[in-house]
Amino acid sequence: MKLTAVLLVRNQILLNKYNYNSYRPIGTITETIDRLQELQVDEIVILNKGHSNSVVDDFFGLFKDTNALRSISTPLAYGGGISELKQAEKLIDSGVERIVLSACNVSTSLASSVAEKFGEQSIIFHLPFFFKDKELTFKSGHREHKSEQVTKALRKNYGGEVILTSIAAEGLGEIDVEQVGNAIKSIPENLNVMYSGGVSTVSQIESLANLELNGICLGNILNSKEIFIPIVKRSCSKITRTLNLESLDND
Amino acid sequence: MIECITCLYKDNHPLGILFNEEGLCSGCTLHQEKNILNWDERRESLLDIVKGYRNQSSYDCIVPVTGGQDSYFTVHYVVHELGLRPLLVNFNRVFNSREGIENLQRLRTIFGLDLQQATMNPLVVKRIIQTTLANLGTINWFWIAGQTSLPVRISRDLGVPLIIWGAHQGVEQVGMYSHLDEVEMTRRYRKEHDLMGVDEKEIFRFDCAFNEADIAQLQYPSDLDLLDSNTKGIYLSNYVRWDPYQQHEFVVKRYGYQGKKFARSYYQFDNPDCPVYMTIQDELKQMKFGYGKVTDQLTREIRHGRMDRERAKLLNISYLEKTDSDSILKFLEWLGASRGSYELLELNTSKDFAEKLKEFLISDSKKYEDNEQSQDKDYDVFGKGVFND
Repeated sequence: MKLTAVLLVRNQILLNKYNYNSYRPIGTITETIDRLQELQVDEIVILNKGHSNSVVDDFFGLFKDTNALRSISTPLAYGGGISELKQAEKLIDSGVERIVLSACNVSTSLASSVAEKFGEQSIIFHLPFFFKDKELTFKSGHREHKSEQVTKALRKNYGGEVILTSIAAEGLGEIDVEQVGNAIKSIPENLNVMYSGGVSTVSQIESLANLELNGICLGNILNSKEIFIPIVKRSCSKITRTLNLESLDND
Repeated sequence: MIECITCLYKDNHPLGILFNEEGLCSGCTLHQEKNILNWDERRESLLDIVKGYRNQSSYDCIVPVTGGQDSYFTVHYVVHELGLRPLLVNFNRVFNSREGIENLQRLRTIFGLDLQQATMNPLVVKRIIQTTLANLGTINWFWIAGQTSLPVRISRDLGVPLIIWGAHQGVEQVGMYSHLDEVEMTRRYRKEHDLMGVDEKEIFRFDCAFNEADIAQLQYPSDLDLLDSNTKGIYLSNYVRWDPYQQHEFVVKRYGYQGKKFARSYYQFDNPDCPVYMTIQDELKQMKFGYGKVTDQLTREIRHGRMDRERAKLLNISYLEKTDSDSILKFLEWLGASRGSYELLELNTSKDFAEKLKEFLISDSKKYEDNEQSQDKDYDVFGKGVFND
C-alpha cells in the first residue's frame, strides 16, 4: 500500500479543504512538492480547482519552466480544468504521469481518448462520495451521480485507479471505516482504490489498511504536522513502500 | 486589489489570503471560529497532549521566549495552567531595546526558570543582515532563522521533545488553518513563510563568503533527527482563545511586563524588545506590501470588536506616514553604513529605495570586517547584543 499526497490548488494557492466546501490558504505548491519529496511520499496528486478556461495553464504557471516540472522525481498526477485531449497530451509531455478526471467524465470521449492514447492506467478517476438516503452517491463539482451509473461505466471502460474521497470526513479527522468499506465494494475489481478524506492519525491508517486499498491519500495533515509520512512509514507495517533513513538526514 | 469588507487586509498579504463570496477574508472567517469553539474542550485536548510529556526528563517542555510578543502569557499558561516545568530558550536579536532585555531577565526570575540563550557572532550577524536586506528586503531574517531553529536543536540535544509556541501567525493573520487542525511547527512553514523561501542552506547563494560554521546557530535539525527525537512543536493559540490585548493587560498587571512606544505603532506591547522591528523593518514591509505592523494591530482590534473599520482605516493611514529616522540612522551606523547613506532613507518618498540600498550595501559590504567601531559611542553592549538607549 502506498502513501499519496493530494494537494488542492486554486488560483495558484495551495489550500486546506474542509467538508468539500470550505478552504484555507496554505502557501505555494512548489515548496510543498519539494518538501514532500524530501519526506518520501510515494505519489503526488494535484487537484487544481477553478472555473476559468485557463486552469490548466495556471498549473504550468506554478513552475518556473517545464524542466522544473519534469525534475519532480516523485510520480505526479494532475486533475482540474481538463476538457480536451491536447491538454492531457501537454501535461503528460511535461512530466505528469497520470491524468485525474472526475465522475462526470467516466462516459465521455475525453476519458476514452486519453485511455486510447496513453492507456487506461494513465487515468485516475476522482470520486468524492457521500451516502444520500443510504445510497452511495458520487459528486463532481455541484453535480451528483448515482453510483450504479458511474461504476457500470468504469467496469466497462477502464482498468486504472480511483480515489474515493469521503466528503463527510474531509478535513475533519473522523472516518467511518465501515462506510468507506461499503464504498470500496461498489468499485469494480478491475480498478485499484485509494482512499482520501480526514486521514490524520497512524491508527486511522492501520484501520483503513485492513480494507482492500491500494493506497491512502493524505491531504491537510501534510500541511499541519512536521514529518507525518516518515512516522507512518516507520510505524505502519501495511505501508509497503520503504523509508530511506539516509535521505532523511538532511540538515 | 481585493480588500476585506471587515478588516484592513488586502489580497497581497504575503502569507496568502482568500476571500469568500461576500468579500470576507480567510483571517476574518477563522476569527469567527474563535466565537464558536468550545474552549473548555480545546483546553482538555491540550491537557491530553501534554500529559504524556510530564516528568520525562529534566524539563517537561521547551518554551521559546523573547522580551516581547506573547512570551509572558505563554510561560504563565504553561507553568500555572498546565503545571509544566519548561526550559526557556531565547535567540539573541543582537539589536535589543532596554525594555526587551529587562523583560527577558524578569521573565526568568519571576518564574524561577532556566533560560538557554544563544548569541551569534555580531560580525556574522551584520554580514547576514546586509545580505538579506539587499536580496530579500528584510533585516529580520537571521533572527527568525535562529529563533525557529534553536529550540528544535535544544529539543533534540536535551531529549525534551515538546516545544510550546505562543501564537501561529498564519492562523491569527490570514486564517491559514482551523484551530481544530492543531497545526504544529513545520520545516515547510518555517522556510516558506518565516524565512521568505530562503532557509539557512540557501543563504549561500547570495553570499558565498559564508561558511558552515557561520550559520551553525541557524541550522534546523534533519528530518531523521526529528523522527528519532520525536520533537513536536505545538501552538498554544490552537487551544486558548487568543487575544494579545487581553493577555498583555493581564501580564502587565501581574508580572510588570513593559511595553515600548514606537512612532509607527498604535499598540505598545507587541514588540517592545526590538527597536529595529518597528522602525526600519516595518518601513521595508510597507514598501513591499503597502502595509505595516500597525495594520496587523488594527486588524486585530477590528476582529476583536474593539474598533470600527472606518476609524481603523484613518489610524492606519496616519501611522503609516510616520517614520523614526533616529532609530534607522543608528541601526545603519551599527550595520556599518556611513552617515552619508542616510539620504537614501527617504523611505516614504523614494520608490527606488530598495535598489539604491542594495547598490550601497554591495559596494560597502567589504567594510563589515572592521565596522565594530560603531559600538564605541551610541550603543551599550549586553552579552554580545547591542541596545540603543
